[in-house]
Amino acid sequence: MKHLTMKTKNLLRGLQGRGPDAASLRTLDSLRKGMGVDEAEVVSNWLHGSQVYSGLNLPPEFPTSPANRDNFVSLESMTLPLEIAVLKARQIAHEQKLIDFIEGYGRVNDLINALDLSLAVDQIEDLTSEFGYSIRLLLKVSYIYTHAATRDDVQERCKRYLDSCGMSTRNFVARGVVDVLSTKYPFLSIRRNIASRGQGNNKTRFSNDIGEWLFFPVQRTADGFAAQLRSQRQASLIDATFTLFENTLNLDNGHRFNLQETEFVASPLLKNTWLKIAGQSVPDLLQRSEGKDDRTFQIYRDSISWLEISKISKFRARVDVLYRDPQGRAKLRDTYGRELNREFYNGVSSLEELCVGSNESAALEEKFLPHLEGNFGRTLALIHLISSPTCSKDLSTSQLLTLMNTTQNVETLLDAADFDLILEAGEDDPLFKVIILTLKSQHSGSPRAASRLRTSFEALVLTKYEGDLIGFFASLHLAAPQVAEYLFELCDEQFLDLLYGVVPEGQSVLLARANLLTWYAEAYDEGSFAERARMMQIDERIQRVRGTFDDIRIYIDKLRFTHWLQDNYLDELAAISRDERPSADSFDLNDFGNSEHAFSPEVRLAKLLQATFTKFCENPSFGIASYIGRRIRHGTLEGILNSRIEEITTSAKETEFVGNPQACLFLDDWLGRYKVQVEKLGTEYLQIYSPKNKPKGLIDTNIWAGPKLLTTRGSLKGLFEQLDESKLAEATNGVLQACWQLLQSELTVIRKHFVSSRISWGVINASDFPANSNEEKKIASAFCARINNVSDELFKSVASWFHQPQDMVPSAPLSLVFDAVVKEVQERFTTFNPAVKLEGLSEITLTGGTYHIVYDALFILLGNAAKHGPNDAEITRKFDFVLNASGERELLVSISSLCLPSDLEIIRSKMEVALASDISDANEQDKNSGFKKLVHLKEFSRELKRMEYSTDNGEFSVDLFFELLA
Amino acid sequence: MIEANRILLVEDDEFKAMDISSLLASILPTFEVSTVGDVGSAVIAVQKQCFKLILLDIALPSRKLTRGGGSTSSLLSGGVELIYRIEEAKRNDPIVIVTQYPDVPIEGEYISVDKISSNPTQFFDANILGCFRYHRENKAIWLNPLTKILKDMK
Repeated sequence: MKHLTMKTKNLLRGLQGRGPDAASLRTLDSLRKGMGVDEAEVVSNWLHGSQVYSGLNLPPEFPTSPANRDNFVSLESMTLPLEIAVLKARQIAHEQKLIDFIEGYGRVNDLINALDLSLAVDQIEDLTSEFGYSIRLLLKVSYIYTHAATRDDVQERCKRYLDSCGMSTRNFVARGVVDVLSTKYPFLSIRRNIASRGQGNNKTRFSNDIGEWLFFPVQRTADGFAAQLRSQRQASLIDATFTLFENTLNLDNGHRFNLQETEFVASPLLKNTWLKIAGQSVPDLLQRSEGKDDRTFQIYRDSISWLEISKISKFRARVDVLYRDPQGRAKLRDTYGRELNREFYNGVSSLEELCVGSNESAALEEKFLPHLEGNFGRTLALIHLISSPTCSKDLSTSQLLTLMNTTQNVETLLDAADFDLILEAGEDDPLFKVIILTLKSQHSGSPRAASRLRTSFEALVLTKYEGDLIGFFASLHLAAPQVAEYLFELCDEQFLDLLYGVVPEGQSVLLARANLLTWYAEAYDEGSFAERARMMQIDERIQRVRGTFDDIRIYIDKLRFTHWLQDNYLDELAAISRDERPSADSFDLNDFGNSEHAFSPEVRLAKLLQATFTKFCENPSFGIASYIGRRIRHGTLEGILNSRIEEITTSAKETEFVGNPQACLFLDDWLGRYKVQVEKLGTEYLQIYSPKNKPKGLIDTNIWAGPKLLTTRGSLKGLFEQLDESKLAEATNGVLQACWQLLQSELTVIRKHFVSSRISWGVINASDFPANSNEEKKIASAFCARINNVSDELFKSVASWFHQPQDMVPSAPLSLVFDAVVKEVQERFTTFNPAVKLEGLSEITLTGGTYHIVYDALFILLGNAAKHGPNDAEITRKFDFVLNASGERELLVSISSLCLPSDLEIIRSKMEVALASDISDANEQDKNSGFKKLVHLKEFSRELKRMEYSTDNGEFSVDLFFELLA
Repeated sequence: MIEANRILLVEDDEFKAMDISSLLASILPTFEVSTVGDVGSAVIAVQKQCFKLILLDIALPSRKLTRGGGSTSSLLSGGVELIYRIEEAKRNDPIVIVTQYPDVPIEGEYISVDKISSNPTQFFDANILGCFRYHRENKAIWLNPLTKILKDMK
């Protein structure tokens, strides 16, 4: 105990013989924080041999089993010199073990580099059994897991390893290291989620630190570095050692923290062993580009697994300063990282220099070479240059197009002031302005910025392209396809709805969007967009035939909602459907917002459901808010609840209470209060809940709130079942259904609120009525009964608005579909005016996506009738339910029409040809009869099960049999 | 240039429009009042000419409802969209907001009509003369200040 101060000695004595209680922990923290750096080694070694230290629930230095370190006792942070001194003491105590591990780890790198992945996993397993679990081993396994061939033996072994560390049971670190490397997830959103997880929550300090480290491993401040060393030491002594050397020996030898090498190097042998792996070359596998991201970005994503290599540490030290959100960048004090960037970009003095075509990615070059940079490298250069006061920001429109076509996530990584700088310095051109305003609008989400963008966008399309939206996009696509794609995503229905000059007629909005989808499908070879366009065109036609709808009962504009859902979440639904996930029964989500594993499929689906339910409720143009707004704004609510009550009271004042001024005053007072409450009902209660703006709102969009929890779980299970069966179209309808189901509890609350409101202020008590005689009491009683009866009726009537409408999913009566098809055929064959004979059931309503299939089939059949039959052809239409050979019910849609014998022969031969030929190109090639397309429908749509046709008795008839799902 | 005697009334509730029109007729009988009931028509009207006054509702449909034209979007802040367009055009047409809501959604926040009325430049870069809550029963709260503004225009 020599060399120790009296205070330290006293604290150590205080710990002797003490049990592992909270007081001991406090003393331990006081001791650690209060000791001198030169005392650290003695104190640390004494503690590790003490009873109290081993009694406290502190994690082992070489853990033999994977565990959640948040469950262990977490010691307070010390100053950086102290934290390093303690770590150094432990490194000295385990020097040989650490050296052996580092050498073994180097062999893992060599094996991965030689593509001997199986042997690399063997080596990792050996290291684990000898040195215990560590984040560094986990990262290497995760790297192999995400790069090995899907489901091969190596990947399966990695999966088992990761599962043993808690990947499937949602251990934050195990999931985090996989998510950070997986290209399945958008990097910035996963970073937002993991890096900032649980900030400020001391109970999860370990996870918070590791979450941040996974994305920002290079330490910038002494406090941050000390906190990281503490948390990494909780993971293992190995992890803390790696963190220490990666941030010192690999970079500036600790200069940025004013550290001397003697302070952080425990022994020359340990240092030399480290320098060997630090000097290893960057593995070829790391540099190989796969997928659509460029090589440098791929290296950036993977680099967390290779941080021990000095070149990679330096790369991160430079890049992490730039590739972060603008607020975080502004707050960052990192002269070391900035200096690295100044050196790297030395000689580049204008944005113009970035606007050159790229040849091949310059992954990990020491010098910035604009023509060799991929999108990631150029994005970093843009971020660096934009904040340089000496950099020229003057760009022409074509240069801006080149720059935006070869950068990524610019709207997130730059801020409004950066965009203003580019706009002010750049060419005065409408397209230039539109591009910058688009980025600004996406960056801020501000309605004002969106409006400004719309005005500029509209001016551009009108003045330069004569209002031809497709012409604009086609031209932009030629110049800069990525920019065109970005702007295309902007042009959803809501955006187009407000382009009054480009889309002057309201009814053309859907068609404008459908035309854009068709263009996109062709330009980007995305067939699914053509299908969506077709569905949209059919919806538009059916809506035209249907006319406007009754809006008494609560509803949302399901067409707009469905299109919004497809625009924004179809890709995500498809991605979730492809993802591996636990069985539906294993959901244990309680609040996905705080879930540790934001990117597991069930959490992603839950997030999707939350986002769509919020939109379902809040969207002011097609959601519940729109309905409520209209009901309240137009005074319907007040009109219904007030007018009859007011009429009765006014009349009563002039008749039965005419000689009773006290009663009249009472009535005025009661009516006044009643009206105030009715107003409050609309403005305060029948609103979407918001703690700040509408704290009394009865519609809560939180899908985990109260009784919605069970519905949410049930809905998630149902949606997964639909996705499992590859029914993406049904899953989008399923989301809509789930939203209605989630709203049920809110509707119940609203209806109950009407009941309690009526009892509370919507009735008059006869006993409160001022009456001087029995006769007056009798009159008052009769009057009150009348008012109360009427209010009962009125409140019930208004409450009945808040029931779910019958047609929850996109649906259409079959007769309506038929009428819409006839109208479309008549647009092509203007004299076609068939006499339609009805058979079978009078009305069948189709729900889900089926009606689009039926529409297409009917269109082919009626189109042929119009082409080959007389204008006034007699067409027999039969809709019915029938049993097939297996006894299953099917929907029969049968169309028959009389034809001339010569035409019948032509039709029959065309049908034979269609049935016998290759139908793979049916959608593109079949511009004649459409029969090939009909056969294609039968082959490729699940819904159309069978097709039978006949040309007997001078009649061409086709029977289509559709699957019934319910 | 502002049209000497032209007022634009943007209002989709016919009863409210009648109330405001009557007031306009009684105070400014020589003024020509154009009434539109949706954002699209208002945008087009404003693009065609300047107005001596724009009386503006906030919650409006995006477009005119026509038979067979499908449903129209109901925009809770449709009036705000018109103000933004006037801002962007750097126009100075005087605007009075008359809404049935106690607050107006501006940039994601609900701002009370009183707050907007007392300091409109905090929220808009347009010539907002006032922002009042229309009330069928308590007419004084909007009628009195609006009357004052209209009389000042005489």
